[in-house]
Amino acid sequence: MIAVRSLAGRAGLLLAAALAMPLALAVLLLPLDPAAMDLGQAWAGPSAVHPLGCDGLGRDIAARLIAGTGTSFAIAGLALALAVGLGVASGGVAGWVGGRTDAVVLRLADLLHGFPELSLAIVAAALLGPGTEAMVLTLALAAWPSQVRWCRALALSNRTAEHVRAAAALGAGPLHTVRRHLLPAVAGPVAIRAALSIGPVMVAEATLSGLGLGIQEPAVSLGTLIRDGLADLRDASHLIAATTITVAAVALAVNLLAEGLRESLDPRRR
Amino acid sequence: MPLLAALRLLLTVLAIAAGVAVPAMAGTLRASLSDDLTTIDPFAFPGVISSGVLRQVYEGFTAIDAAGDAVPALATRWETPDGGRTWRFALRPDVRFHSGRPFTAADVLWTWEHHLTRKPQPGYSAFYLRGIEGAAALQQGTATALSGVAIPDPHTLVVRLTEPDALFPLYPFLFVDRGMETEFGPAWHERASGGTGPFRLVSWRHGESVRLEAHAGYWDGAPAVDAVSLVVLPDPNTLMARYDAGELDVAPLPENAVRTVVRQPRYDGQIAAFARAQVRYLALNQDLYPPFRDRRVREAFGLALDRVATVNGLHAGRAALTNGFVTPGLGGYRPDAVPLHPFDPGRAKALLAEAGHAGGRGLPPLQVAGGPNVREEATYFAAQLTAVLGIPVGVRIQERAAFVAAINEGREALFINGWTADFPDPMDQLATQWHSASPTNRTHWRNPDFDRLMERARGLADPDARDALYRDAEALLREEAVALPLPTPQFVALVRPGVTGVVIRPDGTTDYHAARLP
Repeated sequence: MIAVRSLAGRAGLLLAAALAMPLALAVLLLPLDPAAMDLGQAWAGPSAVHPLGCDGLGRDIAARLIAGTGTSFAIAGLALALAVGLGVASGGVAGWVGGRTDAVVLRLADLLHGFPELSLAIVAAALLGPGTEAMVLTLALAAWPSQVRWCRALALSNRTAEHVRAAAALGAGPLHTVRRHLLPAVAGPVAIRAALSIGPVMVAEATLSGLGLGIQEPAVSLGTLIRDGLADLRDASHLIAATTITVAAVALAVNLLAEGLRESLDPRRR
Repeated sequence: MPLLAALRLLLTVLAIAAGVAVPAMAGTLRASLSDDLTTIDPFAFPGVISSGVLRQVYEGFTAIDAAGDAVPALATRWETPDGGRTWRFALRPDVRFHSGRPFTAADVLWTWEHHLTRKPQPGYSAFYLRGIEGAAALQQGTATALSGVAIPDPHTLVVRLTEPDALFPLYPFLFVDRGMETEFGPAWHERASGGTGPFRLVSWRHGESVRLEAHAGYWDGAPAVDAVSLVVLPDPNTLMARYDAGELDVAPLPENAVRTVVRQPRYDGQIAAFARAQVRYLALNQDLYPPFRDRRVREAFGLALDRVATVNGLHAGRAALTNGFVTPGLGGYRPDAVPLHPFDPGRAKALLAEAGHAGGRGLPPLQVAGGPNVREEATYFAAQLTAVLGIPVGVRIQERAAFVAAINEGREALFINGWTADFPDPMDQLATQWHSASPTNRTHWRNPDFDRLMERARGLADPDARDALYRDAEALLREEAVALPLPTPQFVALVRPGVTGVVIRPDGTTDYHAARLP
């Protein structure tokens, strides 16, 4: 674990463990099913069988939080993988090749970057419609412009770096230079930025699903839990409280871990 | 009086000077709307919220009472000498518009002609007027007046139709003061109130509020309150916070908030529930989802859903469930008492297996679609269908306008649909939903026998004879298992202790005419 070399990384790991332990115990010890309904248990308070109580359809909140966190993580991970892939491909090529390609990619990214990410995601979600796949695509599209700029800047600075120019002077071909010099140099910073983006992307998913633009029942995510909790805000506030605390804690743990990763990979901090 | 007015002004000025919020004017009933109005033009299609407000400002020949029956409004008597082809209306004398002008038959004719000749689109009542002789010619511009209407005297109106229509007196017309356009111009409705109803529409602040003031000269007696202030509060949490803070006297509840409110002991004695003239059902589009063409599959879906459990479980008992497609009592209708098939997942699975779909084999993916108000019902029923069908059944909740567009275009196979009666006769719930030519037949189910029953019923002036045909039509819909009836929630409102006389009519109009403040 590279990330645990730093204080932030250790704190993040500790927080992640503190979140995961009770969840793991709950999964092992309780017959939890996030979709099982019992209308007689609607809004039931915490009990031995339902440690965090039930929602308005009598579904176990703990089970739904566990399943929802998993879904949100998966969606954020997939969306970021897609955004980073697109970012490296378009931004990296633009920065490395330069010229007209660079200008076109940069203008497009600038155009999209002019809008706040959440506004962009809301428009994309409205156009793509609800659903898990659409949500992944929406979040990837919203995260793409900042990834492009970041990858382009990395490629640009490495293209003019002395060791790259030396390699070219010694006769190395472009493919060799990209494989041996560019990709290893950008991999760390790209990974750190992606890890730092997981938290905000999860929050964006929660916001979109909370607005009813995200994933649909019976799938459950942190966003759908917030939406359901908002409907019962006044008289069953434990629903929204449990979810918001989870979102905040998960985002904090992920950010601390990413910060640890950054500090560990930064050659100046070694 | 001048002394009292001066005292009131002084108190108001003192209150403002002291930085105290000015309380509502004495005699103003404070209530809420769940959404903004779409229009205050009585000729435009109003939608549910606007219709509820406009019906307190404008009136028609008849109105719907709390039991769902037609009662006289601006017509005191209506009769047909020839089985519904000619209608003679005796209009209520001594009725005055909000302007003070008398209401006469000429206003009815002007309203109808304006609906038919309105540009760029005809008024929304033009649909109900299409059967009047000369209506088509007036719409096409080949005539300048509606030839099928005669006015023997100012309070008598004779209407000739091209075909018998027994329901003509029940249609939900809103008669307008014909002097308004001359006095205020084409956009008169933004400047003045042009109806005969118990309240004048005084102001509409878009997205914020609507103010109604009592019509002192109302023919059925002036309202007991001076005014009604309606605040637009779409969010249930804000609505409840405002009610709890004592800022509202009446808070009609969104149907998906009823369950959370009624379980709170602090609202005991403040909950008023009223029957809703609505049919609600899980609709099956046989064109879009071929397995639905097999009656056994449709029947299996009905057996797979525990609909009885949702009356208490999802509606806190404030809902009615029947095995029918018409609201019992609507226009005095008495349906056949046919019990609902019991919840029987085992039998449902057996029927599916008989139809060649054991364990979900051959069933394409399926979602229960609906608007945001039915999210919980859709989720509950989708889980029950998943358990029985053997395939995962999803939920597709869309924003209301997108959902209505999708079902109108036939893009949903399985969806929760409802229809609230516009006028007090079963025809409004049967023909609109199931006649092959109806633009709101959203399942696209077609049956010539059903169409013939509707067409015959429309020509029968005798209500008992009509009801017999409606019962046959309902039996046909049940026999064909065209859709699965669902519980219809009641209208529920929170009413502050001491406030009396607030009524929500079966068509959804909140009626403040008899409302009294403590």
